[in-house]
Amino acid sequence: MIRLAWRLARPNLVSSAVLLAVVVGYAVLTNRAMTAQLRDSGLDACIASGGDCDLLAQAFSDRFNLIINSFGLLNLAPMLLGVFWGGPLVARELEQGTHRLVWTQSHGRGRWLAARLGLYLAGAVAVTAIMTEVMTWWFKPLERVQVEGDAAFGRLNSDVFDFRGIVPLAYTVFAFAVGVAAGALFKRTIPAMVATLAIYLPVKIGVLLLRERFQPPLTETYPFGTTSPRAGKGDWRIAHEVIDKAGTVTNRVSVPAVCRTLPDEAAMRACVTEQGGYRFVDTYQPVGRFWTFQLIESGIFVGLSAAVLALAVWWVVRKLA
Amino acid sequence: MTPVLEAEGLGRRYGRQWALRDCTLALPGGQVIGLVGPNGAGKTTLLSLAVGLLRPTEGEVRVLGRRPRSPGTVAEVGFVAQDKPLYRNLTVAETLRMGAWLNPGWDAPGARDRITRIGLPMDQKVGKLSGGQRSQLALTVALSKRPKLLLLDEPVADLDPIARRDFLRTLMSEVAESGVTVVLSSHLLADVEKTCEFLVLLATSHVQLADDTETLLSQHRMVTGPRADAQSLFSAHTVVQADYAERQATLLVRGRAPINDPMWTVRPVSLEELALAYMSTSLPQEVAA
Repeated sequence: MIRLAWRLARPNLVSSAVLLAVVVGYAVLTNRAMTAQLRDSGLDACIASGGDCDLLAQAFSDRFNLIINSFGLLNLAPMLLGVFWGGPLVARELEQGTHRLVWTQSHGRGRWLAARLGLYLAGAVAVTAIMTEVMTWWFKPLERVQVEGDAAFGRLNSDVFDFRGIVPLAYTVFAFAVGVAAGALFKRTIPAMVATLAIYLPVKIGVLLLRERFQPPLTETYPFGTTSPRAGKGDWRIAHEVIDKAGTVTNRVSVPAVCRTLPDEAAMRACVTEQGGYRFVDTYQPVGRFWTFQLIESGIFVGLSAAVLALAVWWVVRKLA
Repeated sequence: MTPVLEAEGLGRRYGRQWALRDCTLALPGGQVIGLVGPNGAGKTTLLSLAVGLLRPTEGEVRVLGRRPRSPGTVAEVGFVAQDKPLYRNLTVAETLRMGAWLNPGWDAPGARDRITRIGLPMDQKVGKLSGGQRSQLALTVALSKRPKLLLLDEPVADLDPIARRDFLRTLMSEVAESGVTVVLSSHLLADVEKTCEFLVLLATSHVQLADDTETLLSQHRMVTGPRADAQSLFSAHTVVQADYAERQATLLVRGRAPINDPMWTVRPVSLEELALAYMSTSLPQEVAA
């Protein structure tokens, strides 16, 4: 059975491998360019010396912005695997009537489903795992470049987090499971693919919105107008607010009369801060929670996948009749 | 001897529409059984139930004495669906390899012989085969599994006369060789008449007749006589169908009770007349024996 599954999946797997090779090639080329820029612009040396590298970092970001963002598209990979591999898996057989051929051979439909599911799932997970590895390697130079206070490339930032560790695998399994189940339920390829999109995306976005609450966030309070002591650590900053003397969040800093007469700006700012008791408060998830968050998020998606796959198997074996 | 296919009050409903109902049957093994009926009579439904692709809404079906989906049964029943599904991207050779992968009892030399005899090129993609070639290949896959029971749903419906003849010829020689029991459905009586020794007639989702053809023919007679006297026949005989011309009545009568009235001409019935009569009978209770 597995040999038939392999033969049927071969064109799909081969074309995906080619696509994967293209992505890897692109990653290698752009990674070289980024490493060269880090070295030649002196940013690398600057970071090593621990100085203020904001300008250099900004220049780096500006130059590679498009490339960095283009890799954001890979976020779609799990979804595409679900749509193009999962969706047609059962649906195409039902559509072309080949289920009547293959389910009436000696092994029956249970074995058929197990073989086809197993093979594609292994393939999809392998593709995602390779992609994740490549992305992690690709991100290495970027990770050193933390634009002040922004932590754009911190590991908990969703632009990074979603490509790292084990969550991409969990996304893939989930998208694939949804595709298979939709195919069994709708019995048609195109509706199954559309349904996969329509189910996967809201769930993915929903969990993304939940992520900042996986664990209660921490807060860091520090003097107004200064840099956070946690700057550059790669935390995920959820909020950056100003509080006044009473400790309530304010978005308006009023200048008291006593400070208005001060001649120089630094003195005036010090006065305002002093008089109003203004402080910065950052709400953040510390970067050290990366793996905890990975486990929580993967757990959510794997749990959902198990439920959806169970539905798909039950539907094919018991209900499709 | 256990019947190869046994149904007990078998019924299947799609939504509110019954495709098959009250089907009680026992088909004996070792012969070619024709399943005849107009389109939509429930032939495909009955075969799909027998091969486990469908589940009954009510009643029960047993194949080779077991449930259709039990593991042993699936291996012993060959099935070719009406549209002869095969993977279009596979070549003929790969299709045979698929058969070997999926069936432990696969007869590889036999399969190759059959393909050679039919004259199919091994490296041709299935999608490029003609309808007749595809049917032959599908039949080869089903036969090479070495089934005890072979179910064919409208095997020749979409074939031209030559392909049809070739297909039935292959089938008959296989039956003679291996003694496999074949149930083939058709809405065309001619195919069945030539090949089948046992006839099951389905119409309006119900089984109308099920017996071997000899018995069926000997149980029925065509009676022609004056229309005015037709009523008298109804009281003494089971009239399956009556056809009235202006003065004349032609009646299909079931049973052997003698008809002595010289006004009536009695002649044997042909299988075609018989089948047509039962198919066009709209009310099944009229023919309950």
